[in-house]
Amino acid sequence: MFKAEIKILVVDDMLTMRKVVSKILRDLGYSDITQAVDGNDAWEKAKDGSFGLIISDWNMPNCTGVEFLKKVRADATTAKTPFLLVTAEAEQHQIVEAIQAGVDQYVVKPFTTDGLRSKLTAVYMKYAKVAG
Amino acid sequence: MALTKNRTDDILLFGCMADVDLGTVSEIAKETLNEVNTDDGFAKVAIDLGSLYEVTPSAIRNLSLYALDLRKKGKLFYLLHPTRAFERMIANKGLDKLFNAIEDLKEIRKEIKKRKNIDVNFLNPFIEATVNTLSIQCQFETVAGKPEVKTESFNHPVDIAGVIGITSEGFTGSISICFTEKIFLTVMSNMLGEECPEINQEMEDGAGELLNIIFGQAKTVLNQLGYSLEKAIPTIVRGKELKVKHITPYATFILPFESKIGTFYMEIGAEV
Repeated sequence: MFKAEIKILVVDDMLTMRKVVSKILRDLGYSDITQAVDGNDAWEKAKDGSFGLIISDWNMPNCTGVEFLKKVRADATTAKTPFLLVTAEAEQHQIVEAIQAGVDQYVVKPFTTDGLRSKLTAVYMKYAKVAG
Repeated sequence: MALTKNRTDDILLFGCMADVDLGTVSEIAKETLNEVNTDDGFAKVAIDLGSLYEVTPSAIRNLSLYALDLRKKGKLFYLLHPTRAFERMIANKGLDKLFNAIEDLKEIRKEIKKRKNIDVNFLNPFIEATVNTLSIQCQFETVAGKPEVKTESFNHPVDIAGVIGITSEGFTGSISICFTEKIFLTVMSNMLGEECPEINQEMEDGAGELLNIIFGQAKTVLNQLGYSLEKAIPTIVRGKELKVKHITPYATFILPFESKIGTFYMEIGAEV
């Protein structure tokens, strides 16, 4: 599992969902959590490559989660940042689009603490495998 | 008085006296629009022509405008006992769907009954998504009750409601979820893991997000079943003792969800 001191960026246009995700992350032992309100805000905060994990909503105004993901993957500084997309819809074509854009995992709302934990574990294992 | 007026259930019925021409009838009908527009107690308006009238272009024009105004208000318009010539004329002009020519008021009732049936396959995913979302995201357990037709006497208090408009192959209309303050604050407190003493801007966002999640889940299932649902943006309305009205000439359904601390409702209104 990711270390407790990892820096996490939570992106959602809805304050309530930012709070929900942040609360679950705190329940899982993570405390260094930064929030962003859309993909543009998130990119400004993430482009220096300082985050060890990004959890982003999909549907947001100005810059969607997938558009933000594409920016992250296209920049050498951020390209290898673990990235989870959160979505209320899980239609086949959307999943394909997210995978093609380079997402590591996606979480479908509604989700529980255990649900998010298992997705984080899957992402961690993927990166640990690559590193090891 | 050239028109008599009767109300039966939710039908407003105008009858024509024998000594007026149709042009006059249509003018008088137009004058009743204000009354029709401000009275929400009925969904259908019928003019009984009594097989008396010859067709005139000005009467057709006036009645068309009248029928269109009614449709904009979500009300249906019927012409009872038109002459054959009248029926032919409106059919030739492609206005038969606008006028709904009928021979008997019973036909309206049959039509209403037919349209009261909303596709269960369409509704079930919304019901399941509501129960599921509240349980998983808010640890708020509910049991869906039996759908009923909403009547005028239905008077459950609503303090906040989320409304979503839907256009698809199986259903066009609106779905709303209506909460009392007490239930909504409990749902939000559970969701956020903190005390929520009052409904504020953040709570409104939360209501929108809940609806988004419910709609997203239902949409995924329905599109697998072949409905073509597009994205929809929820609207949140808040206020003391709100009245939610779906602008539709058909029946609005209410679906209760029982919880330990009370009942909240989903309302479903189908459009023409």
